[in-house]
Amino acid sequence: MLEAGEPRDRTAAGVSAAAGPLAEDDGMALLDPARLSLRRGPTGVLRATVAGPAGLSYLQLAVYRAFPLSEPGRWVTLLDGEGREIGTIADPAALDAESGRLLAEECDLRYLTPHVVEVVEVREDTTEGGGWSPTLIWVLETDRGPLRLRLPNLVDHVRALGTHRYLIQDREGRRAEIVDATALPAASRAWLRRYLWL
Amino acid sequence: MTTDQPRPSAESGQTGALPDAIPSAGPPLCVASDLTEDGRGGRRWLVVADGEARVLAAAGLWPATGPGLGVDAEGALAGGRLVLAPPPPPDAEVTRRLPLGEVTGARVEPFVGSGALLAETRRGPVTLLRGSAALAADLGLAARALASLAKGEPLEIDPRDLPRHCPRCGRRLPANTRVCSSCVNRGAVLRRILRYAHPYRFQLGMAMAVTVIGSFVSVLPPKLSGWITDGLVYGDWPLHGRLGHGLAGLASLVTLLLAVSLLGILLQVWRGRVANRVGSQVMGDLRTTLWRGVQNLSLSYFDKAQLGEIMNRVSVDTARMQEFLTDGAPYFISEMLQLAFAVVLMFSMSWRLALVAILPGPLMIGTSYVCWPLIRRYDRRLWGMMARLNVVVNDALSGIRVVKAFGQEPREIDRFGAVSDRLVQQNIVTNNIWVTVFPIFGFVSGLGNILIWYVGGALVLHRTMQMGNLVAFTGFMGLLLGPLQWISNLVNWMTRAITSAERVFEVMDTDPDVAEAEDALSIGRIEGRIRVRNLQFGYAPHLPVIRGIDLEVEPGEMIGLVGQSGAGKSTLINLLCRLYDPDQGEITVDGHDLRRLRQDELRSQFGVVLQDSFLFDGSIAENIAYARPDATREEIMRAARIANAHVFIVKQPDGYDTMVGERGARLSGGERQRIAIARAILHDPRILILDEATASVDTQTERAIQEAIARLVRGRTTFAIAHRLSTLRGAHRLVVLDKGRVVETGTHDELMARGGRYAELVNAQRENARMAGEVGIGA
Ligand SMILES: Nc1ncnc2c1ncn2[C@@H]1O[C@H](COP(=O)(O)OP(=O)(O)OP(=O)(O)O)[C@@H](O)[C@H]1O
Ligand SMILES: [Mg+2]
Repeated sequence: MLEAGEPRDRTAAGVSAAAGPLAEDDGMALLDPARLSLRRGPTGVLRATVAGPAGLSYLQLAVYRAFPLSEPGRWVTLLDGEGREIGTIADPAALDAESGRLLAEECDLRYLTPHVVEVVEVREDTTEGGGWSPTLIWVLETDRGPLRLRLPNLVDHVRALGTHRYLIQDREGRRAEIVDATALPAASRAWLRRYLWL
Repeated sequence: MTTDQPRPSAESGQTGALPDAIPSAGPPLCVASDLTEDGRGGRRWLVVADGEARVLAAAGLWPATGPGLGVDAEGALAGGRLVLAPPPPPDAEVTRRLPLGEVTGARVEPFVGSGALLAETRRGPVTLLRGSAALAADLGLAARALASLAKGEPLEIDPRDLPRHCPRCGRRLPANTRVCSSCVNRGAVLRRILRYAHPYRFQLGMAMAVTVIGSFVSVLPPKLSGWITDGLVYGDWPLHGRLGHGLAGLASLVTLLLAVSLLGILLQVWRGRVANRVGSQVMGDLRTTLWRGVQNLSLSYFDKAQLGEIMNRVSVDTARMQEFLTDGAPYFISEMLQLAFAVVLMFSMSWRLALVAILPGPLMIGTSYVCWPLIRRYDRRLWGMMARLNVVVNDALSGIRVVKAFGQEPREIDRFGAVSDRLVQQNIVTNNIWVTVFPIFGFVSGLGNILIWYVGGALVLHRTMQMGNLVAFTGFMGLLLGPLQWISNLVNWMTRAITSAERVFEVMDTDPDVAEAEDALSIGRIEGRIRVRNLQFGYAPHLPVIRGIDLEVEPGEMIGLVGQSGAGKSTLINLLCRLYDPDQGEITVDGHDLRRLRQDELRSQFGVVLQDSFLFDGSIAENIAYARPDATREEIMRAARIANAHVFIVKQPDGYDTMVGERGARLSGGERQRIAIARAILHDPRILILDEATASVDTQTERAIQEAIARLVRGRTTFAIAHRLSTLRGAHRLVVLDKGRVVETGTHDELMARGGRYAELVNAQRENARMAGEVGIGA
């Protein structure tokens, strides 16, 4: 497939990514939030402009959380359209309101992880995996609507992120997160107790 | 193709898998997704019709498994149309229109947990659909189709690339698998175990007969003591006094009692020995079959499963099954027979009392039945934690050097301790059930005994029954009590054995993803012409690593694979060796699809030297001769000499007989690699694969090996990967990979002249070499 737009990706030609946009004092390629602003292009693609003498702008942008599980709110790394590192934003909250909103939006797009608000039911499908490790069908209600995940087992598909925090990922890679198990309704907690040995 | 909505004709066309059943009318592309633009559950379509791409939205959700799953209208490709989902309903709303003329390309952007189908336009990429990770394959196909349609080309999609369905139940298979796990025929576990006992049926039959006799014998003593009591109390000697009266009668009855007990013991010993032998042998067979199963599993299974867990299955589970087969099952059978005999005898003596005696039975069986699922669940957890413990141990031991080097022993001890603590907790919870249930069962079955004393005593008082019967009954109660109390224990035992058996059979039943074709072709000696067509692959279906590679390699050609770390070089090699099957596209050898060829033939003609050369526990000679155990000493030495390994090998105290311990830990990295090269040389393959084969040797040694390889590659198709580009000097053609795609191909000179990615890499290395004061690279 063609990757159109790649050659036109960078307007300020010939300037290396390490030069302009970075705050001066670090070897970490941290971006100075005061000089960075994010906007959407005509087709909805995120664009970045770095103010200053070097004045770079990026027509395509990909955002990555460095710690999507342990610290999703901070440390967002920006890559340009060709996958080269632009730099890392330590604290997105320091961006201007519009940029911050867009960044959060874009991050949510990449790390789609609905938060569980209710565990409706966990069913055992013994036709798959037999009586020993039946496939578990988790019927969930999330902040993004109902979700049903098929987990062939728990060991590989549920990861404890904290004492009451869990990440569930099904065989195909769909995810859901239980942010705080103790905050769920009693019936949900009973299901979790039964299957997640809370 | 005039209406906004796809016509109903499209619907009828999608039901059948037969392409010619689909009318050529209808939109050329229809694909659906299960997410809205902001990542909520929803229904969206991408339909290409009338020269434009339309995104349609409808209310509601897809059925649980997502669009295309669970409906039979999908995966149809015919008449140049790609239909992956049922058409949108009439009330669906068009949310976006994009004239095809504006589209310059299309691609899928894989996110975490979802993905997006983007159309490239001159103004930038436009997101058309978002779909959950389960739909990665659909979106990928749709992207290809959209790109073709935009260029005005006919759709070129191989039907084999379409989502696969289970031939038996018709359900859509998860990407990357061929076997529908719901359709795997598992059969009753016990029956399957018995099948392994089939060769020993004669011994088993004997054991069974002995058990029947033994059980009968063991229910006689209470009956005899009843007779003795009646004789003593009423002077009523059994069998009309034929065994004598008074002291003589007593003596003969006691002798009989002694004889019966002795016989019982003898039969028990014999039964135990037979059961022991058969059980051990059956388990031996099963263990070997299991191991064969493990060996035949595809590599992808080992990517997912942890070593410690597999080890748990091979050791712990088979041991549990053996325990059950040698101790549990025979015991169970004899106890049950004993129970049956006792019940029959009791009913023949007094049906009223017999009814009282078996009263607690159903109660206990009912309780067991209720407890069963709970027990299974706990057992599962227990097992999972045990496996976890195994994993920790295995991990730390394999990495013991790293542990020591970083001084992390305390941390490993803590890690073990934490898992062990959880195991302790679970053990306590599980065993608490037993220590509670067991005495309760004892009490309930003891209740029967107490009732017998009352009801039986009353019958004796009313003179409707003799004292002897009461004594016999209390004796029988002792016999009943045993098996009944054992039911609880038996539940435990059975659960463990059956869950173990299921785990063992699960491994055996796991059809390798990389399965031998049913009508696998035998093509004999491979010439070495390799074609790679539109190859796409990801270890996880939603994260593509190889994103469409096309390549043609002539027999005897040496291809150098170049690219950044993580570009997918080793992955391409894995696919060439058919350690994995591609998600889409194909690899052909001499014109035959790899998947259609016999694997043993294929493997015997592929030789690999991998990035991390693994040596088995054995001598150096055995390791070199791994693929050809019949090789002579001279052949082994010759191979070692070619690999420039001979000298260092003979310097070892034990020469070629030096044991290279687990993971070959006693040799240096470069030495291990040279042994691996010798292994490949001796293997004499038609297709040779060198993945960083000389990465761990110094430049001088490399030069020597290089010459060896130059000799070795003559007349063989060779794929060589190297970061040190000078290593690829001998390559006929260089293929530069980047992010799973081929970006350049050509000779060293051509690529240098072009000044692309390869030239960049070479110049960077020259720079490094100059800085290090080394000799220049290239030519
Ligand atoms: N067994 C695996 N399971 C999941 N992902 C894998 C597996 N092996 C490799 N990958 C991923 O696939 C991508 C390509 O890996 P590959 O080993 O093919 O790279 P490579 O080109 O050989 O790199 P190198 O030059 O470092 O050896 C990497 O992003 C890697 O993380
Ligand atoms: Mg590699």
